Amino acid sequence: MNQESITTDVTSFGDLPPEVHEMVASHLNSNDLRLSVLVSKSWRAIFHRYLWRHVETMLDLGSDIDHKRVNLLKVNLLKANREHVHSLTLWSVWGDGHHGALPSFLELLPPSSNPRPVFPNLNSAEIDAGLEESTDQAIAQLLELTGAKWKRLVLNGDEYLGNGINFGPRSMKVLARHAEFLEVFRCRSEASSTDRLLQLLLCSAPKLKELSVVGYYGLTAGGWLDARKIVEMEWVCLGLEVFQCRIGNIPRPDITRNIGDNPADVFVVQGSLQESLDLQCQVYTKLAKLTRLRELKLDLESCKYTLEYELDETYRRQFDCLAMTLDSGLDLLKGLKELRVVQLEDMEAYISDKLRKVLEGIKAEDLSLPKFLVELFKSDDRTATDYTNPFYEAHGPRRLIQVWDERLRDDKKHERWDKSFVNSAVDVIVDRTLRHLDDNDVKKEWRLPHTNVTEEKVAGYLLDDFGFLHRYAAGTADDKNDGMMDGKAHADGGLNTSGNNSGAMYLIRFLKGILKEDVPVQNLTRRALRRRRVRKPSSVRGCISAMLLFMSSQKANAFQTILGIFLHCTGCPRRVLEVLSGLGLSISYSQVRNCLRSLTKDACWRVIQAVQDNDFYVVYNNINIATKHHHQRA
Amino acid sequence: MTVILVSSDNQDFKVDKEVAERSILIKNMLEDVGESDSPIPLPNVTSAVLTKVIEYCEHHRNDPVQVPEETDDPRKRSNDIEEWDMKFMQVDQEMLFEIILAANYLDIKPLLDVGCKTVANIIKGKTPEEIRKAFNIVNDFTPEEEAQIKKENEWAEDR
Repeated sequence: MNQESITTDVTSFGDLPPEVHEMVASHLNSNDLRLSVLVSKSWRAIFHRYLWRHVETMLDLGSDIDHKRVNLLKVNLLKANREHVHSLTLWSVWGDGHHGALPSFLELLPPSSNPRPVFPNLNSAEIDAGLEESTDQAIAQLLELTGAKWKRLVLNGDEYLGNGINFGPRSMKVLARHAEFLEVFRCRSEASSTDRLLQLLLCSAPKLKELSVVGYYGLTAGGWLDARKIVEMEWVCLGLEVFQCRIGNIPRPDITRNIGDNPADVFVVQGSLQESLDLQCQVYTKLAKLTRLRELKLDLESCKYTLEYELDETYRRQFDCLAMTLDSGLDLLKGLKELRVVQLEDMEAYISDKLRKVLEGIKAEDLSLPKFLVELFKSDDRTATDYTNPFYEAHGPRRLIQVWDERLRDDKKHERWDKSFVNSAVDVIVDRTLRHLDDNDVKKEWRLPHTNVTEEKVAGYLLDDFGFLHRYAAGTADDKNDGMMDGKAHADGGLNTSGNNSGAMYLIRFLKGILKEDVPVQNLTRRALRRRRVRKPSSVRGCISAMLLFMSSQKANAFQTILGIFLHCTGCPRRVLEVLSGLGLSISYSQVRNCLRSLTKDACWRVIQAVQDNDFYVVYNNINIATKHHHQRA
Repeated sequence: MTVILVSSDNQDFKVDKEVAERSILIKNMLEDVGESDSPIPLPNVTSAVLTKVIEYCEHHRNDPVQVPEETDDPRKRSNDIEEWDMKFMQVDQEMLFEIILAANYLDIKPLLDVGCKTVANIIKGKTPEEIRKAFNIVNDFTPEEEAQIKKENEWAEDR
């Protein structure tokens, strides 16, 4: 009894046309396919070919008999199913007695002189080199195995041992012959294609979508393109989406050439800076023609094998000579709408170099750094703002200070730089942000300033760096006044604006208060401050909105709870608490008692201890407090 | 403008031209014939199946024409089916195959795709015995044959 006799008139799976079977199979993974061929003979007839379509296997031709037998069986099976094979992935094993996958594999196949291709439909291969070096000849031999045109070729050398895949002239010649449909060419290997061969590929593979060539360091390293040749040659692969390859042979007189023990002149490319910039510009012009480019990686992928050079910045840049600067035509890439990733290891080095030059300039001009920073931020000069704004906006004040800090730390001559520097840097940022905030205040708009100072960035700055700032501030601001200044800042900073920007504003005024000594309200008590505030109509408005805000969510009384408990612990009278709770700034006295009752005695004691003994900071969403208990009693 | 489609059992279906043109076959036919009121015979499709196919085309009448994604790698393919399509495909197996055949014949790529995904989803994650049950198939392997196949397949894709 067979399938057909059960389902005479009824359409069954077997009746579907082969193209439908293929579509179904394409949705199944290898495991599903492996089980599907066990269903019945007719199902096996349908699915067997798809099971062998993507062969992914590990060949380890160990020296012992067992290995040999197993592998022979494998290769024989592969040969038996060779017509079905579309893609082939060969892995090799790490361990004793194993050879590279590719040579072993080729050893078992009939010689390439065979007029009939071994794999008539093979169009995709992925090879992981093993211990044994895969020679140019072996790769060429592999490339000849197919009767189809290559679509995808991925070659991974072994970076640890430096045993690479030698994708040399023979291989490239074969590939160029079959490159008509080539879409992906990825090659990671130490000794591989020289620039001439890569140019050949770029000029002969019209469908190429990904070119990813990663070579390693070393004098003989291949895997890079010659800038001058890039300019000369006509590329055909204008649909390229991923371009990963170093571009070298560019004169860089701005880089010093002393590299370890190597004679410097080995690396020197003759040319003036202007020639260098012109050449780079031309290269970028060429790259800008690849309108579908998504990823552009011109850096060197890090590699354990070459760890010793890893930290040698100069060394790295010798080999990665294409600079990504405005001078060299980065703006030419603006037209690439798809571009998402640009990698260039020189980038960071360049920023710091520029900064160094700036600092040198300051010294030479006898400008003080604070002065310079203020000038820079207040500047109406487009170029100056163009340089400073993106950095400031992308990284926030914290990163800015950090970078300047690091740069200056290197400069041993300025032993006394740090305090004044940090203060003035903060000052500049405060000024700048305040201006934005004031603008917004005038416009009656309650939103963040258009600089990217978000609460998180500012809050992070406070939490991480407060101690650090506090130390510097200690000399300028009287410790005793901390709480008062906080009170002041709280009074006119925290409530004049509301919602999101009050946090940023509060913090900034707070910092300003600490770093500047001109705080006028040093001797007012907290209660006096509150009275003062209530008299101001804008504050009343702010207060009402604050109340509305917290009423809009029943759970949003965390700040009020903290404040209430804190005040209670410091010995604040009940009446004060009630007044504050009326203002919506604290929970009521009875609630405080409830809260404390819910704690264990020990925890309760610890809370009181903590409040009384230490400076107490509350960072709550958009309101911060720093004070000591004795300030509350006045 | 409407088009009249005639099923294999001689039933007429009046559909909007826009809906009918979801089928590349009909679209090409209409382009070849030009303006004409003559009904289009579809001798390979029964009225029951045609009803379903038209339902699908009605629902997807405004979909953009999708570019077929060419990938050989099964891992990159997704088996996700839209909710409406999933419900639409909840039919008995014979109907499912008929719809696939009709989609293939009428050249409605998205419907064919959904159909194949549905079939694949039935197969996925099942043991051979469960697959046999699901598709009403009798095992015609001897135990020896079965063992042999298992052994051969072992390294077809091993890691």
